[in-house]
Amino acid sequence: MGIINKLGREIPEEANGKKLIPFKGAFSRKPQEKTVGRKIPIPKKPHEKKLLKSIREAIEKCGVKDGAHISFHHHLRDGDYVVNMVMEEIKRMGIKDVVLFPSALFPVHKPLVEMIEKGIIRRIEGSMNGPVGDACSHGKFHDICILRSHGGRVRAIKAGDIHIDCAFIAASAADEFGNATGVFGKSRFGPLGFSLVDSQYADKVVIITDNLVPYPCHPFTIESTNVDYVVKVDSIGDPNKIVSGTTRITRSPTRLKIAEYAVRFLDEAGIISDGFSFQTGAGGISLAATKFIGDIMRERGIKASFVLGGVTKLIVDLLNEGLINILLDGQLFDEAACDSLLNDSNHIEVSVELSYDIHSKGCIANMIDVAFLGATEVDFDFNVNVNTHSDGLLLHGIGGHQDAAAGAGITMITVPSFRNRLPILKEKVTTVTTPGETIDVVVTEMGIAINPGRKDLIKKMKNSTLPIMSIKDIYKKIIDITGKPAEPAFKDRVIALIEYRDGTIIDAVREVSE
Amino acid sequence: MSVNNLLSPQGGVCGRDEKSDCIAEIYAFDHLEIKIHSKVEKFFKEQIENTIKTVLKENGIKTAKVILKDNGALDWVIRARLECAIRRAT
Amino acid sequence: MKDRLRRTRLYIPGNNPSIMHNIAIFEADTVILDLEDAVAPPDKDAARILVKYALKNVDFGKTEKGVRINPLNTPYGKDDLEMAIENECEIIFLPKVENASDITNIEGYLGKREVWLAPIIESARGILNAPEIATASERIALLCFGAEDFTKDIGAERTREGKELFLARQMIVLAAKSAGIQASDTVFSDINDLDGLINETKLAKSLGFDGKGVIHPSQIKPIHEVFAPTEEEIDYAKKVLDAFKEAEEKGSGVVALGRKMIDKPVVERAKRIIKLAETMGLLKKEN
Repeated sequence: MGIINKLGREIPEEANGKKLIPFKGAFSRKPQEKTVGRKIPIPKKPHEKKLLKSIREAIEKCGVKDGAHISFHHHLRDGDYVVNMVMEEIKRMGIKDVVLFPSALFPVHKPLVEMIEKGIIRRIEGSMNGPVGDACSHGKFHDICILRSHGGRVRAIKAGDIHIDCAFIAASAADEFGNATGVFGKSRFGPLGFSLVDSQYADKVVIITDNLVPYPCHPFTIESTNVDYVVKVDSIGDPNKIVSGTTRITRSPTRLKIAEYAVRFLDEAGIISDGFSFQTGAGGISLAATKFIGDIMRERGIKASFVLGGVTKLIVDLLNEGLINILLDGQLFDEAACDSLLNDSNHIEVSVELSYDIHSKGCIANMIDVAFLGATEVDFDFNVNVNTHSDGLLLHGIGGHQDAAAGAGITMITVPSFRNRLPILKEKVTTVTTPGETIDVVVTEMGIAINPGRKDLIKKMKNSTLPIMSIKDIYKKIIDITGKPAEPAFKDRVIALIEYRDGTIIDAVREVSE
Repeated sequence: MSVNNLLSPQGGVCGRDEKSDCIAEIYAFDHLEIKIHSKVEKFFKEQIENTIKTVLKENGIKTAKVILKDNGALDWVIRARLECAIRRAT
Repeated sequence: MKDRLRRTRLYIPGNNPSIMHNIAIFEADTVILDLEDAVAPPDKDAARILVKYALKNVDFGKTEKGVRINPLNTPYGKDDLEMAIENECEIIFLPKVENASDITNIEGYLGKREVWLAPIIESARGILNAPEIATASERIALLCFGAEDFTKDIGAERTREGKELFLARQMIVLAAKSAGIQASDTVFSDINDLDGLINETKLAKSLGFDGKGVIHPSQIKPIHEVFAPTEEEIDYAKKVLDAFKEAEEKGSGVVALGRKMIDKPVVERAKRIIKLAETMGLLKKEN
């Protein structure tokens, strides 16, 4: 027995012992509660030592037991060692039924699959990727997993929906009292914005670093105010996988075409003008679109007031050229971006709370004129799926998708019309991640569709020579080429929930039937 | 289209193991057997099977062993590769 | 159409389906599905069949459908030709053409079919015979230059400035223009060198070429931009056409711009420039 939410998706009434609230609209929920804080800490004595000898000692001193709730950040991406190191130790200590709150997971976290199967991890809330998502789709978790956007994770922590017993925060530099940063050190990764809220709300906070520096570590993102212990290890991650040498723009003619269409659309709609702002990422199409926007800005002598990233060398070069006033950085992806964050005062680190939390009174997403986002599927109602592929397997986290889409003046989904014969457009998406009411334009190489709700955009683009058509017409063109795919089969058992950034449930993911 | 199609026992193979392509193999057999291995099996198995059957019919082939290893090839690509495999097998 | 825009002719390997379904997006003027150099001998039959289906199923948009067949004196040429003409190929590219008889041999297979021919000249003998090749058939719409094989043939070294190619290039242009057909320059192989591509294309345009060979879609837009008429050229063309219209209305046989007499070829050139400008969106279509 389930409830049908506003998008017509069936969701269970409760999960993991808690009652669920169905999605009612992107800006409909008005919470009445207060934020839930932690107990006031017992004062530290002067010069009390926080430096511990090992991860094991930290786990013991933090009182991590069976059923503990533990959190991690994902700034180290696929080069991370910390999650696996901590979980290995937890396994060795015989602790089980742990609930994990990572801000995201990557293929490197494959060792967690075995722990899931053994019940060492009973569920994951936050995000999952690759092998862990695959395990979830095959029903290997004890509980129902919950996926949240970056902003949604912050909201959940502040509202007390997530209670973190112990936050393990990897840092590329820290002092022994716990001031920590990611902007310098052999394993540097840039901002530590995803961990700020963990440091403020978790019962216990442990900094794990491979680079202990004399007090006080500066600059710092995590304040020692919130830190209980510090552990030094040999290495927190693989530098080659944490940040890449360079990120390249796509060479694929299809993706370049999509980027070209997207930027022409914005230009014709009059969006690219002096002082405008946009959000960018490291995806191929997003980078190409950024480059084309840069070309236009350069040609016309206009500047962007700010850009929110997903920062790569490409954007840093535009900043250096004077085409962008300020670069706001939530996470970065390459060496050049790292250097820029450290050295350029116009390149600023911002927390995910500021950028994306729906309750942030200064939510940066709300100020952005344009966001470029991807999708695995889009449907006739403009609902977007980024979590599952058409076969129903959970393969990606939400990232900032829901947040950026809700806030941005124009949200553009830039996607190829089909991948491996599978159409990206469908009558109904397999899983709803982001509701159609927050999606404005879908750009494929076969056609561009404007959300019928955006009558202003439709009017602006009336005389455009771009291939603008209804989303159903793009779908027909695609199906003519690929043929119509069959629908995947699912079992009844719900294995994960997609939570919207306001804490309501927008969709449920069921176990795949194979 | 030629009607007399004696498929040789060593059969014919055509195609590449690459994205958007497929490898079609056809051998002489005493009944019709079609084996499909595809990345998109869950979605297009029926369509691919129908395509194969259509091509066989167009070439007057009633019995054969057909193996298709598919990497998301579009319909016309499957047809082309199978037709080539048939020609190579005759 | 015989003298449609052919600023770019994009080669697509004939045995590789993955890039074929995007042909319309590339917006090349002509696409050449290549059965010759891009396909190894064991795959020639597979490529021929794949190209047959591609011609029938892929959306070419505004792009002209071309096929490069193997020479007729290979085991593959005749079958390639037959496949191409039976499947609505619009223009056939003939490699390694050396004399007029190469063309007349092919004509024998074409019957009354409507299909254009584009000989590719890639050898010393071919260059020296360019005038007779260009006039060998009414079906020839485009004369192409292939520098790679040509340089090997004459034993020269390929250089960046291409001085070893100057005479050959000019011969192609002379032969083509005196026969009233288009000339297309050789491909630029370094897809990472955008500046080099633009420079070589500017050279080709200044020599009188109407277009250039392309090996990667990323080269198309830069080449189209080089071949775009300048503002001065457009303005002058407008003046010429106005003068022409005026002369027509007066019933005069002489077209004059100020004190200068304008010959027919100048008027034709002006018409082409206006048409190109309209196609490229540089000018709104008027009459």
